[in-house]
Amino acid sequence: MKTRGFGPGAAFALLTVPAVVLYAAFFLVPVFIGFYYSLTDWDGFSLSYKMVGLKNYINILQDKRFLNAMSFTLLYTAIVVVFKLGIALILAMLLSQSLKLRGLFRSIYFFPAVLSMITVGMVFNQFFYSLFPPIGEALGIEWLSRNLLGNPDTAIYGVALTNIWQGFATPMVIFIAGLASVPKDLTEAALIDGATPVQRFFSVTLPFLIPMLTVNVVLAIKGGLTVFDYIVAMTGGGPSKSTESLGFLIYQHGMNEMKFGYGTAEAIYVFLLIGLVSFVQIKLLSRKEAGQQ
Amino acid sequence: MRKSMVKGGIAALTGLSLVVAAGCSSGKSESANTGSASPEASQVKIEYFQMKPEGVDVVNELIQKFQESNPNILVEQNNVPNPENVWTMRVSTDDAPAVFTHYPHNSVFQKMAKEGQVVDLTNDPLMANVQPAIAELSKIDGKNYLVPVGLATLGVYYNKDLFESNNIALPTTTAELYAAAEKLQAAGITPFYFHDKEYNGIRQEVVFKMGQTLPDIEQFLDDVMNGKAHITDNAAFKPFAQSLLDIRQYGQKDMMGTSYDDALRDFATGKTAMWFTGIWAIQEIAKSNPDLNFAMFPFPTENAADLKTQVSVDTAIGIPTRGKNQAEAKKFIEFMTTKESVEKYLATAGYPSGIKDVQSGREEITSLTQLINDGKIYPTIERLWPPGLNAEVGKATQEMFITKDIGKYLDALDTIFYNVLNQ
Repeated sequence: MKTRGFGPGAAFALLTVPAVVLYAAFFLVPVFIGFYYSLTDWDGFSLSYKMVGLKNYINILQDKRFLNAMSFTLLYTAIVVVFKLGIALILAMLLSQSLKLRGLFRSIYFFPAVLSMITVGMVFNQFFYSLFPPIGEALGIEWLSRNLLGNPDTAIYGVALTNIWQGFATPMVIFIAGLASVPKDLTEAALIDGATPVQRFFSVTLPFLIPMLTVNVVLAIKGGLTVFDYIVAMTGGGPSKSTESLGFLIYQHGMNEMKFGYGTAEAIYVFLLIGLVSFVQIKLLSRKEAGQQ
Repeated sequence: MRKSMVKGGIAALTGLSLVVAAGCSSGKSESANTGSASPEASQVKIEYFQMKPEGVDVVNELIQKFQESNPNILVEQNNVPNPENVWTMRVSTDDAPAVFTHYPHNSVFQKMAKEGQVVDLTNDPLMANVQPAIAELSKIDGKNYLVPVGLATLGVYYNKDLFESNNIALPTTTAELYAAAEKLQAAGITPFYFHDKEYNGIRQEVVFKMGQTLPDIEQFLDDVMNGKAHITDNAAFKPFAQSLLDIRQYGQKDMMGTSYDDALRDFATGKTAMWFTGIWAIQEIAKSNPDLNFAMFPFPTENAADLKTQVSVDTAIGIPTRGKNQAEAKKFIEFMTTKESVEKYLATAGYPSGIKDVQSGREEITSLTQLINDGKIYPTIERLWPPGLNAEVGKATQEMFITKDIGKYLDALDTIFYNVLNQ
């Protein structure tokens, strides 16, 4: 299509300008400004600061608190991804069979996804204080009769539980869509040939779920690595810094402990980490999509 | 491109931009009623950035009164969550509110004041009604930047009914306090509640007790912060840390899992006899359980004669250097610091007053206000610490409560304080 005065290529290029401008203004520019501040010792509000070069970056590698936050975040992500996707898959399979009131059940199970993370965090915060301990005491379970969030060893599980409770809903819906895409004639053929349910799952169903699995794994890992809302609502990083995630630590340093430059340097490290993880994921998972084997 | 596609595309874009515009109009939190129906051309609008959520309603009433006698000034109260961070960011980006509350002992505020971001009110007529001792207390480097209206202190809330039914007299020494705790524990009542889940409460307790019990603590910590001494050199710290652990033997079962709100609720419902925190909790406790029979007594010292309580300025009003409408802002402060306004404000909030001749509101804290009026006070020692240090102290103490390792705690304190002013 030719428009007067412009070649076709120019029209398309111009149409992308708004998106590029927004992307540059709200993403690229802050990243560069942040990188600049990470080379200073600015505390976030003073009128003056000094350039310290890569000192922040070097200090971070030796900072036990940062390394603790890294190991917490990685462990947390592992727990949450495995359980969230596992439960989502099982529920998706159950809700893909012919059930009475299947639509109603799917809506009920999807409900946690529409709540805000802070609200869920605060409600579970109360559960851990006033609901679970009496149950634990009545049943005689020692570790449940205290606030799970009050113990540095168990706090991570408390936060993970909350995330899993809310977070399985969206992956479940994605898996349901994936299961619907499995060709019926293949499953019937496998059934006729005498395959057990387990064999049917791994040989017929799973290959068709790979694209959905990719999406879900990427989203779940991203959610796990950037966990922040639940930490703020439930533990504030405590007790004694045992639940400080990378995102929370950056916030603490930047906003509350007046170490803005240091916090920004940590953020750059997290950026690199997430970039690396995403790259690995995409490489691994793109090889295995159904129909390309 | 087909015409229908183009039309559809434009409709979609318009719809999308409307939605975005609607969503982006910022949810500004509570703003006061704006007084007169239609703003006149000469009306000046000032924003009152008020940091205390419990004061919002009574401040709205005061603003109404002010606007009646000053029809050309429109005051808009703005109370947001995380107010201190918001204030810091706004003043740094030259978007300062016309008049605001802050805390003269807050280290970030002190830094901003020293950098000239806040108007110096030292010899201003606005300070004329302030009690001299309190004005002295609120000085930063010898200057006053905020007009103190309400004070805060910490003390022990106690359940009057539980005390009476167990025949316990109000403790006046630490020995009596422990004896009372013993008696309550023997009767099956939880003597104390500790809200150790959040390090903020722990920090308040440690700062209070350090200032109350450790001799010459300000001078000593100043030496440590300048690299002239180590925390571990001071023999008084070990028994101090031990006392923090000892009193927790009389706490509830899951201290580390109890937050401030949980402890407040449980005290209000009578699950514990005593709770140590600030007077700011009075309103909440009374609202949670209007039938609760409670009051406060000052945290006792070893000898009754040494009794004193920490005073910090809890409500103080100031103006930014680069703020607009400073004349109107000053008029508003003048109104808010008159005897009538302060009495009205404190009657609900319950704080002792920084202004002269004001009867402070609530009877639950008479023993504390008496101490303040007698001058048996000391300022909060954390006002001399650089920003962020008090949080570190709170977190280190929280860790000690988990590990019970006093040696490690003192080393941690030393790492926090040592030579920090020279870095």
